[in-house]
Amino acid sequence: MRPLDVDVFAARVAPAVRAAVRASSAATAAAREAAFARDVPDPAALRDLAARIRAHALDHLPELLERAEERLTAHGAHVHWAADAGAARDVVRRVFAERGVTHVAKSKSMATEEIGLAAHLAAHGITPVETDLGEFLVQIEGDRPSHVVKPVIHMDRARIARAFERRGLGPYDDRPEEITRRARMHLRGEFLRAGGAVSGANFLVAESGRIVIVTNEGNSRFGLGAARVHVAVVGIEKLVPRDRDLAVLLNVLARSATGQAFTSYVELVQGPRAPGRADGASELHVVLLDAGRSALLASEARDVLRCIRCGACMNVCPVYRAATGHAYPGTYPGPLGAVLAPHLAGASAAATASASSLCGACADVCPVAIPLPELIAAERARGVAEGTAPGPSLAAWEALATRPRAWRAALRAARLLNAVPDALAPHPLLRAWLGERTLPAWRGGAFRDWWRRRGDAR
Amino acid sequence: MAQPTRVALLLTCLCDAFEDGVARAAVEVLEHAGCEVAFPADQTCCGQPAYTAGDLAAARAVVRHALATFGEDVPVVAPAASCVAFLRHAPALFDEGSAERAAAAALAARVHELCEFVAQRTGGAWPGRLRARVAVHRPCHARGGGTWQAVERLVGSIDGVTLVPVAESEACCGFGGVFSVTHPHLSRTLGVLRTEDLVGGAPDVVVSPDLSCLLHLRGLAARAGRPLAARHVAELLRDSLAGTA
Amino acid sequence: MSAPTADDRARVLAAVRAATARRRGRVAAPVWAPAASATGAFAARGAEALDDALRAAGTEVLADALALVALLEREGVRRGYADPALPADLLALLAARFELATACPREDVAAFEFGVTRAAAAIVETGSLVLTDAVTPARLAAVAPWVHVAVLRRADVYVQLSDALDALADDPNVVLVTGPSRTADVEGILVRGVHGPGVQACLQVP
Repeated sequence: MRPLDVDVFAARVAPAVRAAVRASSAATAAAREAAFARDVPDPAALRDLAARIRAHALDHLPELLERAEERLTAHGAHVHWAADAGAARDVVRRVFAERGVTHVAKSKSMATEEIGLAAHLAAHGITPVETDLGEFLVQIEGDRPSHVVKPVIHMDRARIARAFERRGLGPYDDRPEEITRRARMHLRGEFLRAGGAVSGANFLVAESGRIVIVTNEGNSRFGLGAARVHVAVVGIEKLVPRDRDLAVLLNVLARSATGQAFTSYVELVQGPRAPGRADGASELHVVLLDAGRSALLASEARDVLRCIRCGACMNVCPVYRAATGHAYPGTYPGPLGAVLAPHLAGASAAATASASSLCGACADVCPVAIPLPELIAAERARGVAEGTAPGPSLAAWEALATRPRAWRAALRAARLLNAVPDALAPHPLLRAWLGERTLPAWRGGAFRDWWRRRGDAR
Repeated sequence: MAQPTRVALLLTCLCDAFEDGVARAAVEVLEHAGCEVAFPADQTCCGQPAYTAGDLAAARAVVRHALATFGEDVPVVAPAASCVAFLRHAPALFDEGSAERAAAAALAARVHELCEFVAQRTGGAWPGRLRARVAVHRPCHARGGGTWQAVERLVGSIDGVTLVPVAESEACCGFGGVFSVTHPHLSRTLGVLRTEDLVGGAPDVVVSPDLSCLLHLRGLAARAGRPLAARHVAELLRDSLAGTA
Repeated sequence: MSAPTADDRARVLAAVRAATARRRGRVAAPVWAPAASATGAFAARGAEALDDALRAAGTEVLADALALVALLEREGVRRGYADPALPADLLALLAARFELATACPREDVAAFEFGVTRAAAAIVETGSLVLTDAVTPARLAAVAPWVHVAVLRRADVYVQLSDALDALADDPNVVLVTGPSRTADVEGILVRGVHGPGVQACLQVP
């Protein structure tokens, strides 16, 4: 059997990269656990509440979207709808181009990553600058993020220091404090040069029309304060009904993502700046992005839309830790990616759902109780049923396992395999197994013999 | 424990094919715990291999066979956390409101992992005696159900046993059914990492309530020329009784 | 590649409607008491725990104006912004010791080493300062300089995050500031002061 793509990638991951990803994931997973133990009296109840808030929002999405649109418009924002990635890219580019904006400061956003916005703007003469330190590194390295919260979890300080040196940000220096200081000084200039700001959104509140943007670095705060035009690309699943719902979601998001009790900057944007104010964008554009989400909502995998992109599932995932994020096609790695990639990254990504041992660690930590292992198994089954990701054939096994006499006979006959060299094992699954492992001696039916003899003796 | 409780043994396909010794130990453990063990001879497999391979039609067919085989309304006990977890999940394979779903739910409600069942009857104690440092591998499919807690309580209560702590105690061994052959590199990598943690505290033996993990871990270790002393927990419980004789 | 049109709105909404209409037993809006969402050790102690909550979040608590001066001197900062709406005696004290401006224009932002602004409120549960556009219009002065000091009236305290969010008035931009700016992007090592302040402080006034 040919190993599948994630496995092929995993086999080529440099040991140092794997060790770094594993250590960082494990540290964050431990911090998450400690934060919940320390701060949350009843974690199961809070998770249930968070899950119900998200499930309720998804069940009432049409009303909530229209309400948010109405509120945003009332506050002077422009609301755009984009059925697909191309439409979203077009609207963002046109907003900037029509206003003569040539530089934009970008905040970290998985939605803009998903639609390839930065490359599109650059191709049309609009220079996007990533302002989150991790995303800035991804950009200057021509790389892609390998984690939804920690984009450069796969880079060590030496690689980062070399990237800064190449970029002309000073001689090699790999101290994290110095790297951060240089990023601060360099990106400060970019913020002030940028006429536009692009962000995603962690949430969009229907009752108030507030876009919620969460950062630790303060980059979005700076970018939005300095720009003239702010465009936010918001997945249509990001809706929450009320401002107070954020209390639950923000509390579980910070602890799940980094183990912090709360994120440094939670920004709530409702509209353009008021007349007469000096700071803040004078135009706010909100792009409501579908790009496969409504189809997901109609599918068996709909619960995955509850996701708040905390990354906890990948931090605990043994496959993610060993394969690293770049092993996954599409924007989202780990268990989340195993469910999303077959839907959002095209038919060629259908086999991603097989890249899981279904161990269930992700389900234990998901703050909104997404049944990830069940969804991954369902995606796998869909790939088999639709022929996009056929699995190994179990027809012979099924035929035996539903016919007890044949089953008993086959198990007994399999003892003959004890005399067959591994390389000649008669089934591809068996050969694949024996390529990595031994098997104990076949003793098919031995228990049944013992049971019968024991019964006779009594 | 005056009146023996009748239970049906779910042998599991791995015990049927390779590890009759584990199944015999399970029978003896159950009998020691005051059970009368029945063995429905038509049983085959729980259906999990097809589920992990994404072949739901095959999984349903095999679950149907298990439902027919284990129709008698007695507790069904298996020396396999994984098969038990799958049968507890099996109702979800059938349409809501269907008779099959109801039958699967009824079986799910009376299927038990061996240690879980025994610990409940004995209050968590096991009257064996054995001098050994033991590391417990917690199979993923023992998550949430109280299985590994039961394993550790029973094993820990054996006179002379010292439980050795295991780092990353709930990490997956990397077996994962068909994953082990579709993702050979990852499966091996996870198995090697798991083994390092399991033997990190220098135990005399590693035990697990699941044979599939053990088959994978022992198979990897043997292929690499470094055999792993690992046994099914049923064998350890049964052998510890000899120490009291 | 399709161009965005008014059609996209109709298409997306129709698809979302179709997807949700098929759902039986839609999940009702959860109703919960504020206590059910409370986290952390501070909210249970009420408003008096604010100082501890701010400190736990990494925000320095300043007892009085002299402590503010001491902080600025400790950080070696000279030039800064102060909100002209702050109490006159505080402004006078700062003006006597520092190079003080009452505007922080975008072009000059790099020259500002500290910013003293007002805060609309604080939240005990999370140790957050609430900056609204209504009370803190100088957004850049609160984020760009190395030191940011938020001046908070002691009466403006919410115990729980959910209450603070419930009470938010319409405002184009509100930010909850919880400690200094930080990153762990380089090997998971925590570094303060990325784009925002490396030192975040709160001065409480009656």
